Amino acid sequence: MNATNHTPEFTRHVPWRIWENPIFLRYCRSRLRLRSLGIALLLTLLIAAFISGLVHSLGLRSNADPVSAARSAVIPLFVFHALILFVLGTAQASGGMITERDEGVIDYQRLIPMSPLSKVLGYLFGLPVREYAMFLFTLPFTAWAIWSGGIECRVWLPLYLILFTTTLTYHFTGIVTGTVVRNRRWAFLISIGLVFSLYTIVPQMAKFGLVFFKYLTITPVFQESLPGLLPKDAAAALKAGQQLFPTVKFFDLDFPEAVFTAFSQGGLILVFATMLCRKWQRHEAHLLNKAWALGFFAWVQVLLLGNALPLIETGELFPSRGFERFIPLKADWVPTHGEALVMIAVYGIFSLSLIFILALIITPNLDRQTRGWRKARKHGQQKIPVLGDAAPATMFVAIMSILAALGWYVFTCELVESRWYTGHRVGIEMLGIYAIVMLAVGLGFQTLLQWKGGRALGLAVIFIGVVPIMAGSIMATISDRLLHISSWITSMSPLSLPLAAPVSRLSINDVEKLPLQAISGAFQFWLLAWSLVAIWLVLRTHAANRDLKARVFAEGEIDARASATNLERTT
Amino acid sequence: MNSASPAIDIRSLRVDYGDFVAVNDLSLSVPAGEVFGLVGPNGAGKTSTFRVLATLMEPTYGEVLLDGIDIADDIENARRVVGYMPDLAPVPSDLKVWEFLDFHAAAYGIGNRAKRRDRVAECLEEVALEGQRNQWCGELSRGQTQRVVLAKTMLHRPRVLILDEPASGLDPLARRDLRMALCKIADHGATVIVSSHILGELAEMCSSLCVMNRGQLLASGSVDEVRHQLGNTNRMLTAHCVDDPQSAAAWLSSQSGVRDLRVDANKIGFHFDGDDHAQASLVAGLVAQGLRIKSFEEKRSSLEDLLVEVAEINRQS
Repeated sequence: MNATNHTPEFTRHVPWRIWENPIFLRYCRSRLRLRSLGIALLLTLLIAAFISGLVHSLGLRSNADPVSAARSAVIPLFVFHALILFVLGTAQASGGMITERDEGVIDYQRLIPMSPLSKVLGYLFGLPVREYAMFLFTLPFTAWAIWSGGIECRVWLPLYLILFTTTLTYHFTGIVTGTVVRNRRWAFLISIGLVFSLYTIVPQMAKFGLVFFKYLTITPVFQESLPGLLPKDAAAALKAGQQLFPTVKFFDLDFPEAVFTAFSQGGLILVFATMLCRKWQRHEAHLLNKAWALGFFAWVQVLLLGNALPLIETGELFPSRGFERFIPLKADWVPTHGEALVMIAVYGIFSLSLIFILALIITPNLDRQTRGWRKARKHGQQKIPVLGDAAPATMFVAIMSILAALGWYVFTCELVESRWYTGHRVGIEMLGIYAIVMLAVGLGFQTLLQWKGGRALGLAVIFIGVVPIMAGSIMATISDRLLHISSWITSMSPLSLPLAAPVSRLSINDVEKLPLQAISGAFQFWLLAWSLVAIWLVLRTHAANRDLKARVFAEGEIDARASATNLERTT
Repeated sequence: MNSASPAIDIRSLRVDYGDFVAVNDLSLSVPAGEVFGLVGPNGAGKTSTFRVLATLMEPTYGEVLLDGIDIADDIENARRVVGYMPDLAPVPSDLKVWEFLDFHAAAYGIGNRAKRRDRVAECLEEVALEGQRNQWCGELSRGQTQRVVLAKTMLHRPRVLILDEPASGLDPLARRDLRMALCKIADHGATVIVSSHILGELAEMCSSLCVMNRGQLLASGSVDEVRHQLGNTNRMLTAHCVDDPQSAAAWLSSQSGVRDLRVDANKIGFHFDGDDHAQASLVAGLVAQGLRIKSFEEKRSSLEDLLVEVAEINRQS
């Protein structure tokens, strides 16, 4: 054995020098083997050639000029790029992580002395390296279409820049899912589901006032670039009918669409990268620490308000304006009251959902709390460090709830007191009601999770959160006579409170008097009831934590006595 | 590293899984250059201790210093000095043997491509797998896989090697080679901590060992010291007489520490409760009596017997 008695000098890996990253090179080796890569590249070439040839010849046959004919191949090729990078690449990113874990070799990678960021970047670019190669092989066709079609650099460059950031966002989604979800099949389904919802469902929230979400996709930049990519006639028609907004409004600032999209996706990428770095640093760590989670929540609130508020005065925020591409609007168009109520409710429901997600991330389970107390006991501390993973998350969820209430209130005021709804005012008491709704539901969720664990919380969400809404909705459709009782049953669900609060308390609702009375009565009753439950849960969780501390400290005394006895015996 | 400080220093280590205490206040020091064995029945806390040492698991509390580096403070440097081979060591199925080793050599920052190639070749030679260099990892036998992972563990010349059941799946020849390789590594100043169920082998290859049970340290030191600490100083002695075994038996039965004496032809068997000095005095006394003793045999309960006893007590409680 040639082991020497000195440890050799090691080269340190610089995270950004990706071409020297051993994990990246390891995947280049395994995923770019000639046999399997050759087949993938051959297929890619065939498809890209087929798309270009077909679209070009169709264009020429329909009497388009050669420039327009070449140009018409760009969009189908771009869709092909998106398919390769978004779908295949993300599936590979998530599947690759799961395979590493299934085979058990992930422990070796945890042990190698590379910084967490180097490891994250190695996997990010290494796992889907074959898909990047496939993408590169389609580029000659795209370059030909861009060159022959005379597409300007200012059109295709932002588009491909955002294609890259969107790809990174989706690949990060896949890697995070593959790292966190234990079950192989579930991890794959969840990562594909997340990408699908990020691309299709989440952007729909933009139509209901949460404009920020459309900037998590490539769609706004694609739409902005579309006139420059289409043949000239189609582009002119599209430009005339589309009324595109070339800049994004963020409070009083104007950003180019590509810049704002890159900024929004960059924020999400930063959060994903932080989660993965924490996991590589310590496998047992929470995805986010409490301060990060709080910062992330505040950042999302600022983005939501910053994107939505400037669009209120112009009317672009309202859902009915979103249909103007399909249905020409009347000259005297005004938004309905119902639209405002829906947007306000969506804002509240989304903020609450985000609180739930972050509470799930930062709330310690019983095992972790016990370990935290044992550690504190060992170090002679009476408290677990507030920002530590083992510390209760109640205070942070309470702060998030208050921030959510504040954002929700600002959004409500700006919307209801805008020029579209003259004569309506939102009183300061609404802030108090929003705060109670957020605190009652958010803290109820978090404390139940901390006290009784995920299984109890899941059952509570199903039977207390979802079932009453389902039952109430069915009753409401059976007969108008059941509206009253259905309101009471629906409001029983804490999840319905963000909807019931604006409906019952704001003056802009169009609900008839009788159902409104029922909704208001039920809302007030259940808000009070759930507030009391939340207070009780907070107290119970606090007491349970105190009992746990007492048990752990008592157990420490027993251990100390046992050790002393053992020592005596040995002596 | 300070030459006086131990290569592995564990202070008040505790690992919990819910209410189950896997490792309870374990404190242990292993000097540099030792091959140290960690033995204990299933559930003793060996693997949890190894995973904490390898920086793969955060303990509930406790300090661990590897080669003087506190793993809680400087995990990246701690990982540079440690080599870990897990039980049932896995390998990736999509890499060839040399690619797997080269990847790890690169990850540990071992020089340029040529240096890495040389180091990979050296390690493959150490584990007698030069012929399998171009074979797919997924096609290796169980024993070959163990050896490839052992080669991977040795690649960066770790100062501390943590081997969890390294001999499982190895044939007798490969076990002998492993034993020799570990002794060589220790001779060069590295410290090896190893667990194994083949206790006879462990006793042979380890300069010292410790016994764990239910997360606690029962005994540590040399094999004899461990036996002593576990309260087992009892030894079975047999004296072969040329003639007159009855006189010898009569004299022996009058000596303290001698019990359960049996005479079988010219053979006298008995249990003796005493240390090596007392035993030496007993033999000298026997000869001084003018009794003609042909040979004297000593049989002590093996380490395996002691562990079976410990496991049996666990099962009963």
